[in-house]
Amino acid sequence: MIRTTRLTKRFGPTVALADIDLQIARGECLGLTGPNGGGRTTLLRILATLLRPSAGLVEIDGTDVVGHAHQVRSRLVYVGGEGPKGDGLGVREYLTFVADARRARGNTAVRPGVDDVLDRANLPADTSVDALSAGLRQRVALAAALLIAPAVMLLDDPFQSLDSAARGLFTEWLRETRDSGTTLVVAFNDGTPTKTLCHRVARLDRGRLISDSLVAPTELQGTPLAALGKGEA
Amino acid sequence: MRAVVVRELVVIARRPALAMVTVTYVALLAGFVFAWEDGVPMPGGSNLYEQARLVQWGLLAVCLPWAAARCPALDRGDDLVLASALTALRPSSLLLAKAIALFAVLTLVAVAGLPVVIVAQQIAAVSTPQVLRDLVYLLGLPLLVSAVTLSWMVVVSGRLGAWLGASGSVGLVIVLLWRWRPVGLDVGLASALVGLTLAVWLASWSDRSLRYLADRNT
Repeated sequence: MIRTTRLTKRFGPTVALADIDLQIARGECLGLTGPNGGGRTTLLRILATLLRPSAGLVEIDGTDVVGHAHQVRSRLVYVGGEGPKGDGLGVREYLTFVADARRARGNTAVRPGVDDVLDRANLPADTSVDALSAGLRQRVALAAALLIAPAVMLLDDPFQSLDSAARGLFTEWLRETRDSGTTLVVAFNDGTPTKTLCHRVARLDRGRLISDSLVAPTELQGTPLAALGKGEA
Repeated sequence: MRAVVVRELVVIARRPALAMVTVTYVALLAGFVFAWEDGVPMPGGSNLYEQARLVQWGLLAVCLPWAAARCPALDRGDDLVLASALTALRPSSLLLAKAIALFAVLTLVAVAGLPVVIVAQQIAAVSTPQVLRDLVYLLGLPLLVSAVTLSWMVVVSGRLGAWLGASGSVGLVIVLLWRWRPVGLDVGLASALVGLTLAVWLASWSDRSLRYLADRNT
């Protein structure tokens, strides 16, 4: 599903990522951890076609993300720390806009309706997105991603601004999405519990892949990695 | 792309500036036609209708860039790249959708002065086909303003810079077209051609330059 080969990213003299080799299977959830400046956000943004790698190869479903960035974008969604840009739209209007834009791109996998998502995410439908708190804006961003229901979800510290109830709600929701076949790559700060959601946890430090280990089936909730068919990677 | 056009229309329609600029433009145009019914000396104006048309162009050249810079969502640089990733649309499609929405709204502003122009036509006894032809040519101005303002909004940060740049550029283009009068072309038609050319360039540039976020370490 996702494959990186000797992926390297430099910002001037700074090496943000160095020779990263990863394979992620369809329906797998990979957690990325590590200290600040480790390269998690850079890796996610390259996978999301938002940054151009300095060297190496990145493929999603066998498609090179540099050569066919726009083609790849229709298969994935990225939720970063930027938050949704409402421009005066209410929450319902914003989610409807996102759903309509993606449906128009032939993404027929837009599964739940806007009202279902609003209800489940417990969002104020008519409030302006720009007037929401950081936590509610993060809920809107996650709700939009779950509404799109793409083949790949790339989430950069998705629970950062959420309260514990919202963390539980979205962890469960993401677990369901993962079990329905969506591939997840989720970056977490050190110390954030990842093991109930992620099949594997990779640790990045100063741009290098330090470790990449499976989560014990007894800790994981939902479909274990062994049931996914690793041969698709 | 339809979803982006609809979003832009909703965003623009909610800005108070849109109503403000429409009322100001129509009031000043009506003020000219009704207060100076006999016509004031103006270059190129042979009757009240011609004079009103000249004033209409002048007012729109000032009002439309302000509305165009004030009303749409302010997207440039990384915002456009992220919007492209969210919608899975190319930056050129996003900008084209914004241009279509902006052109539609600015056209409505321009057409709002039609009743006043018809009054001037009746007073000056100008033929209806000429008024209709002039109306069609007038639509070249919203097209020019849409393309020019969006270009400035992508290039400079902030609405003030976009407004100043768009006002200066539109004024310069109109003055040049009015003075040179390209062979066989009305100023409105020439403005439309300039606007279309700029829109094509902007689309092509955006797909090359707005593929990725600014390259800085996160």
